[in-house]
Amino acid sequence: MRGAPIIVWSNPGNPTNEVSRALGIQRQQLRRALHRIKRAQGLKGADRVTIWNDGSVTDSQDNVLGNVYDET
Amino acid sequence: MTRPNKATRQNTFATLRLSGDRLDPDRISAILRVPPTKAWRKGERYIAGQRTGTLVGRTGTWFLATDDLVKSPDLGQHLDFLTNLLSQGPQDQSDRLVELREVMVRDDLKADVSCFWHGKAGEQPPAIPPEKTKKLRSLPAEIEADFDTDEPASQAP
Repeated sequence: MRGAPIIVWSNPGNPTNEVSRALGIQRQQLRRALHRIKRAQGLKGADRVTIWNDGSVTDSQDNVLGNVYDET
Repeated sequence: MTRPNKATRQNTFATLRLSGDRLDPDRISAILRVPPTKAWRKGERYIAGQRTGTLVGRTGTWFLATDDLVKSPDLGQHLDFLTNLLSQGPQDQSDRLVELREVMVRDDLKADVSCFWHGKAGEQPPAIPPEKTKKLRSLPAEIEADFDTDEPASQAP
């Protein structure tokens, strides 16, 4: 049984190596996926998002913006 | 409306996004003569991805990422693709740039272009050619660069 999703990143800017390791992908893949998700939703690089360990990406109002694994 | 994501692991690409509450994705596709990577109307339910599932468009969006279409490590070629979309069409067709501007004004749309690049640690980021910046700003579009490199490998003690 899977537990509740855990936050692996909740900051503005680009996530660190630790975040990509937690998701099991390369940092370049994570950055690329995050770029596509944020820009499609009208967010800029400096805008804060939350990345969860299931790959979900949410904004500051907890709206789901996308999933990293959909973009890799 | 979502194009399947067939992108390879490219280290550079550019995106064009048009947005606004009155945006009609079909109209934008007709002007630019290319299907979007993703597009939706305000309030429309759309499939954002297998994992993401269904989302509701908070505003109308027409989004194109060049990594689905241009296989090049040169950012300039990705920007060429976008500027060529806006260039003069065949002689019997109206200028796409003019047509798109008219729709942007009429429907109160906003355009953004973003440039993505990921390099190895210590690698220098690419330059955004000034003529491309000028062309895209004439839309008008805001241009943003998202350039970064790998983090340096940690040093052993």
